[in-house]
Amino acid sequence: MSFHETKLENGLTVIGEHHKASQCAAIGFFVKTGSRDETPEIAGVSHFLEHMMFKGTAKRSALDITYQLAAIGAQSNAYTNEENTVYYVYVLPEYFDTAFEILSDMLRPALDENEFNTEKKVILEEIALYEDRPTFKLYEAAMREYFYNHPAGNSVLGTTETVGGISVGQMRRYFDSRYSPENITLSVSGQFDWERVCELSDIHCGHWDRHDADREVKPHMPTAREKILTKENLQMSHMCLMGEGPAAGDDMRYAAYVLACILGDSTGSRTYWELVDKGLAEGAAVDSEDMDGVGMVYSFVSARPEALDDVGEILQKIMRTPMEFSDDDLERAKTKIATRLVLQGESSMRRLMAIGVDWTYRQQYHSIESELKRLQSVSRKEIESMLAHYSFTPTTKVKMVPA
Amino acid sequence: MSSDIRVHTFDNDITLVGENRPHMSSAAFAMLVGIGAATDPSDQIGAASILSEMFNRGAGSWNSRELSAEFESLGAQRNHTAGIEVSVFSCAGLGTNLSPILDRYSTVLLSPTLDSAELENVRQLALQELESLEDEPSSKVMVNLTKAFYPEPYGRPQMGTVEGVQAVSAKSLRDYYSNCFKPNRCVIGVAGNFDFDEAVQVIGNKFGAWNGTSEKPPLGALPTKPSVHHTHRDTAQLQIALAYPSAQIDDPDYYAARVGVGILSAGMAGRLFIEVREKRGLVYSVRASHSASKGRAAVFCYAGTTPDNGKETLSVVMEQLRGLPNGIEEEELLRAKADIKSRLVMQSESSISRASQLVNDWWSLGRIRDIEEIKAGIDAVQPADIQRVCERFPASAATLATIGPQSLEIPS
Repeated sequence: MSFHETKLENGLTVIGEHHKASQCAAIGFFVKTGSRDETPEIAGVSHFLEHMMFKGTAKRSALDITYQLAAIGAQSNAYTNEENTVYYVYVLPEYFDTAFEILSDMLRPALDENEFNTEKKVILEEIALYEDRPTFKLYEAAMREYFYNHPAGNSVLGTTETVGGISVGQMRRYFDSRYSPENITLSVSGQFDWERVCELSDIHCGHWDRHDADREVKPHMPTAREKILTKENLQMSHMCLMGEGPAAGDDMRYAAYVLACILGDSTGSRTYWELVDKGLAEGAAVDSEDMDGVGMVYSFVSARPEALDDVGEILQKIMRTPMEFSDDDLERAKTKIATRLVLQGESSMRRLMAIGVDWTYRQQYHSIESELKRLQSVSRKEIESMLAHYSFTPTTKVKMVPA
Repeated sequence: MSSDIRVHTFDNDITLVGENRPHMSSAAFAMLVGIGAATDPSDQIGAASILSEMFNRGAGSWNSRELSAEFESLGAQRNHTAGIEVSVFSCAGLGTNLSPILDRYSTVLLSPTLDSAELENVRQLALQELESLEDEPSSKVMVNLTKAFYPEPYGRPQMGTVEGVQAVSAKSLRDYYSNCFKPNRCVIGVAGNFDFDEAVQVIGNKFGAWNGTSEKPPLGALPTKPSVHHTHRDTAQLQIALAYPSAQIDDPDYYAARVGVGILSAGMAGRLFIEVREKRGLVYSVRASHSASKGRAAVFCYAGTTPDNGKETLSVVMEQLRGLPNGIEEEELLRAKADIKSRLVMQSESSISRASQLVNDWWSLGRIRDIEEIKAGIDAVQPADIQRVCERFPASAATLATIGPQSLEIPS
C-alpha cells in the first residue's frame, strides 16, 4: 500500500491509499460538520442537508444523480454523526473518473425548495423509525446527559419540531458556513491512478470558494447525571453508562482502545464472561469513543427488566475496576485488534473510512503497519497511566425500562 | 477477475471447495451443515440455533474459556449462524494460521461438549433474544411474514420459538447432533491466501475419520396460499412486509428474476425507492430482495411508514410490483444489471464472505459458479424474460404482514 497527499489552493486536502491488488475503488468526502455545529433552532440540519446532497445540483436533477451513479454500478451512500458528514461511493476502477465527477458535483447542491419539502417528509419518517428503536433512544439520551450543556451531545436527527421548522434559507446558510473546502478532506482508496486523482480534484473541486469554517471546541467537564426513560410494553430493558475517555488528538487513545476491548468486546471480554456467557444479559459492550477535543467511554447492557439493576451493578463494578485483567487477557485483546486491522486492509471501503476519519481528526495518516506496531506496544503500564487521566468510571447512567 | 477454484472430495463424502487469492493476507474457513430451524424437532424449534452457539461452549478437553482463548490467541474471528435449512460455521484469520484454525475447528465441530450447565446459559440468551425481537417491530414483521408465507417447516423463525427453546434438553441436543451432524450433510469452503494441497492434507487428517451418514433434509416447499397477517402495536411507524414466490436458484429464469427485482430495488435507482420515497416522501426505508435457495424462492418487500401514510404506501408499492413487466427501458435494465454485477465483485472482496458463498453454491447447485458465469447470466436477461417471470410468479399472489396501530388490505 502506498500513501499520497496533496492540498488544492482553495484548501481542500486530497489523500489516497493505493492497494495494488484491489479490484475496487472507494472515494469519499469527509466534511467536518455535524450536529455539534448546529444551533438549537436548526437541530437536525446537518443530517437533513446530507439527504439534500443527493437531490440535485446546478447541472443535475435528483434523478440524474441517482440514475448516473446506478448506471456505473456505483454503491453510494452517506452518513452524519455528531461531528462528521461523510459522502462515499464504491465503484469498479473503470468507472473511477465518472464516479469522481458525480460525487464532486453533488458536494455543491442546488437545495431546490420542492425537493426540500419532499425530503423533509422522508426525514420525519426516519425520526419515526428511530422512535420505535429503544436502544437508539437510550443512546441519544445518554449522549445528551453525558454532554450536558455541551454541543457534542446534540441529537443528530433533531426532533419532529426542529426539522419541521427548518427553512431552505437556514439550510443554505448552514451549508455556506460549513462546506468550505478547507473544512473537507477528499479521500480515495483501493485501485486508482494518483496523478489522475490530482487532475480530477483540480478540475472538479478547484473552483470551490474558500471561507472560514472553524469549530469552536470547548472542553467538557462531565457531572454526575442519571435518567430513566420509559416505554410501553417494553420486553427487554437497557442501561447505558458513560465516563470520560481520551479525545481524538490524544495518543492515550490507543491504550483506551485496548482496554475497551479487554473490558467489553463482543466475545472473550470481561462483560462477555461475567454477563453474556452466563446468560444474565442479552448483550453487553464497552467502547471508547474519541471525538474532537472530547472523549468518552461508553458501556451498555441489555437484560430482562427484573434483572437490570443486578446486571447494571456488575457492569458498574467492571467499569470501576478496569485494571483487573491478566497479561494473557492483554495479549489476546491486542491479537484480536491486530487481526481486525489486517482484515480491514482487504476492503477498500473500510480503509477509506479509516484514513478519511483519521485525517479529519488528526491531519495524519497511519498505515496498517504503523497502527499495528503502535497497538502492539500498549502495555499494562501505559493503560495504568492512561487511567490516571481518564478513570473510565461512569458519571452518567441512563436506563430504559417498561412504563 | 482471476480465480483459482479447486474441489476435492474426501472418502467420507465431505467436499472441500477452495479459492486461492494470493494477493490477500487472510484466509477463511466455512463449513456448511444441512441443519437448521426446518430440521429441528417440531416441538423444539430453535434447537439448531442453540446448537450453533453451543459449539462456542466447550469441545474436546477445552471448557468455554479455554476454547475462546485458543481462537483469540490465533486472532481468529468466528461466526456461527443457523438458518432455515443450513447452518454455517465460519472463521477468518491470517492465511498463515489456516492450518491451526482448521485443526481447532475439527475439535469444535466433531467433539463438542454439549454440557448441560452451558445449555442453561445459552437457553437464557436465546429466550432474551426472542423477547428482544418483540421490541424491534421492523425485524419482527419479517419473522411474521415468513411464517405466514411458507408452509411448515420452512416458515419457522431461525431463532426458534419460546416453547421450542424451553423444550430443548442436553439429551435431545446430543441426539439431534449425533443423528444429523454427518459428513454427507456438510460442505467445507476455504478462500483467501492458502495452499490448497496443504488444506486437503489437514482436513483429511482432522475430518477424515469422521463417519456415518444421515438422511438429507427434504428440499424447500412451495408457499402456501396468499394471506394477510396483522399484529396490533402502538408504534410510531406501521411496518409493511410482502412476499410472493419467485424463480429458484436452479431455475432457467433465475437471473431474469434477480434482474427484475433489481429494477424494483437496485439501491437508490430502483423504481420502489424513486416512486415511494423520492417522489412522494412516504417512507425512509423501502426495498425488495430476491431470496433463492434450493427448493424455494421468493421476492421479499419491506416498507415502514407513519400510520397515516400506510394505505397510500402499500398502494404505490403494489402498483410497482404489479407494474414491473411494463415499460422496461433499456437504461433501467442496464442499471439493474450494473448494480448486481458490481455488488458481486465488492462482496467477494473479503475472504470470509467468499468462503460462505462457496459452500452455499456447492450445497444449492453441486458446483461453483465463477463470477464470469454469473455476469454472463445477468447480461443475457432481456425485458421479455422479466415479463415471463412476472407471468409465472405474479405479485398479486403476495402475502402481507403488518405490525402497527392499524391493519391494511392488499388493494385489488
